[in-house]
Amino acid sequence: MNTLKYMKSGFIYFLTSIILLLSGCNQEEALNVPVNQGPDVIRNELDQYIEDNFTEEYGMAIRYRFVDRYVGPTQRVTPPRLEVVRPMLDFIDEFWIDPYISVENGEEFFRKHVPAEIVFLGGLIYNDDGTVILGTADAGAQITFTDVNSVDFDDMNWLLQQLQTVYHEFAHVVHQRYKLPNAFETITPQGYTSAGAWFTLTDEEALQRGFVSPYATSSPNEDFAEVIAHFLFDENFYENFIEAEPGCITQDCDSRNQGRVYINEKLNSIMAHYERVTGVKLEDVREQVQSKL
Amino acid sequence: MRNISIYIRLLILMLFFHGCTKEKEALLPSVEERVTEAVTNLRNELTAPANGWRLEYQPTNASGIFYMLLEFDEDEVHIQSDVADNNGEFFEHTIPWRVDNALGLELVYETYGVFHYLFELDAATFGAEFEWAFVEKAGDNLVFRSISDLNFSPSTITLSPAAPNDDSKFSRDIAANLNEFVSVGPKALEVQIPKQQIILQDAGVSVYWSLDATKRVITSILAATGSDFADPGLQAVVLNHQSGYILQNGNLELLAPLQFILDGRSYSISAINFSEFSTTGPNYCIFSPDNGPLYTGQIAGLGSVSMISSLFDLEGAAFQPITDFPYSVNSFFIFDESGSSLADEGGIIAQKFPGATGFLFYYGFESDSQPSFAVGFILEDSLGNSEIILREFDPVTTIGNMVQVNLNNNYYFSGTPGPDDQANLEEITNLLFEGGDMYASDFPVEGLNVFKLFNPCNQHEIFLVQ
Repeated sequence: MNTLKYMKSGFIYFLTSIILLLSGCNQEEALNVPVNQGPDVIRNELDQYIEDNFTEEYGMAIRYRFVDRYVGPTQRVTPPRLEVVRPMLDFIDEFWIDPYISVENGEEFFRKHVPAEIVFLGGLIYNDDGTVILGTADAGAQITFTDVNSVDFDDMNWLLQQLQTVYHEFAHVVHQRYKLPNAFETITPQGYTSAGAWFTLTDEEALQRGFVSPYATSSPNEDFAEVIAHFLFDENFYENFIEAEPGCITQDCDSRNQGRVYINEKLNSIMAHYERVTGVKLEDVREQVQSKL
Repeated sequence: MRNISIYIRLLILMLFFHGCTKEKEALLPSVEERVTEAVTNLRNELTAPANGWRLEYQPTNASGIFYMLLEFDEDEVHIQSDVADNNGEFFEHTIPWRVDNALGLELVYETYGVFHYLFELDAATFGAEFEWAFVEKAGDNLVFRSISDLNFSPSTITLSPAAPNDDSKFSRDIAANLNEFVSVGPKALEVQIPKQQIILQDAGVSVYWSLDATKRVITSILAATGSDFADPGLQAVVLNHQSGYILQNGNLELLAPLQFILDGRSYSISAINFSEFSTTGPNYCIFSPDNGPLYTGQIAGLGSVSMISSLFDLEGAAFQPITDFPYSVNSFFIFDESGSSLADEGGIIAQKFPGATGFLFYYGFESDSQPSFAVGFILEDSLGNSEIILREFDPVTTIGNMVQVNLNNNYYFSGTPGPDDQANLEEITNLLFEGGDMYASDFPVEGLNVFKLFNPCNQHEIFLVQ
């Protein structure tokens, strides 16, 4: 009986070993398979320029070569033209980096919070439901610029769209690191829309609810980011969103003015919070931005 | 026995470690090494041909073919194509490329070029691709398939080694000249695909087709005797033929030849050999100093041909007089040459008739009190009272789909006109019907018969509902 027992035991060890033999040998190899062969490799002067002026300087990788993981499997988009990459870098330098590092405490804040990855896409992101995406960000780690192929500093529509994207996405970093201002979401709690419903609102309806845009109604986080973005890039921010229309005689006009009261409350709350946690005065950044437009 | 068991265990352990090292080293390189080798091999294949690669690129089964030459070096690919769009920016360009390994080997064109341009057509639904999965080497050819085609039969892309003189096959001049045919025709609320009339001069026959120069597709509509529709002995046959085409060696070659029988004779068109292009073609506006494009050439077996712009629309020929009621439309649906509604803020209708709610086109309308041939508006005042104001035109008949509207100075008012109503109506109708020749086309709307009247003199368009 003992012999049989040991023989059985030996057979089990033998089987176990064979299984280990078959599975264990390939385990290590599978972990280190490269996904691609080098969109990040320095291959030309442009890559070197990016490396010197963005990656090493700010820890910011600029991706302009196409990698399909930048978008979802059902999204369709193209990479930028090679010749627009440098102007787009100049745009980032001029309208994003410079306004921040020019103000008190701005450089330290920018260097400490800059997203690790900036993606340039040539056109818009086409979803399979027929909608398009103008710009995206991923948890403060990545900002994606779309429609880069249309780069034209003299085209205010293009310029403002890109500014809105970058200021909006960069604003998310603040609430992700330091939370929203205290009780921010209680300023217009009834104004937020249910998931995916924000695009049914008009600008007018959003303003009456106390929001700078329909998208701002989608969540307190987006509300926060939209207020900052509009505050920085919109030349007429105070006229559009803060100052009351005089001589109202209609209900709509009264509602718009009430909305402006809410937005003013949000702006004051954000500016105080922003300065407290980052040391940066948003008014100073706005002044820098507006001086360039 | 226990000792035997220990020995067996030791032996198995030795075998295990032996198997993990010796066999791997002797027979199987690491996955990383194999991937690197596969990538390197494909890179070597792509950069090997002395004259680069020739590609007859057909993004979808329904499209035509784009002729290209590609030359890969270590980092960049120099692409020559016959895509004339964007002022020929894709005739020659150089962009970076790489080979990835994801689900297999993938050739990726890293920045924007001709493949990306084609990919973006129709909001990126056309079906072109700029990421190709490597399939196999077949003889001297490299075969890829589309990664971005989401259907069950992704496009196959085959690169063949180019011959030294393959660049002489480019027919970019034809591609550029065909793009000159885009300017004529209605375009409000629809994508404009220009139409042409191909006159087979020796045979005395015309073929009417639409040519999509961007996707390289020709849709043949009608073949008819003579060169216009005024011929009382006209014979015609409706064609229902669509084919992609390729441009090479000075020819426009149909991938599926067009064949038809007209007036007892068989015709077959598989290619047009183009020779002379000029802007001496007919002009559809009597006031315009600019002539339209004219392309001449030869068709094997049929002789000389001329290709000119056409405003013919088969369904538009159904725009005929109606006795029971006038054609009408909401006055918003009248557009200028830029596609802006004349009833929008700043438009002439908004300025002259801010209360206009509808546009009327009386075309043979039988009424005891109202004119039979007239155009005008339904006006509504602030109290909701409506009034009809009309300007008459001389009775005409359509020729093919052309409608002549010769306005006269007879006016009709259902009520008391405002002091400027007649002058305003005169000004607006003079604009809309400048030149007098309007071309009707069908505008497909489910459950309705909708036509458009296009004015070739000022590119204005009027929608009319039957």
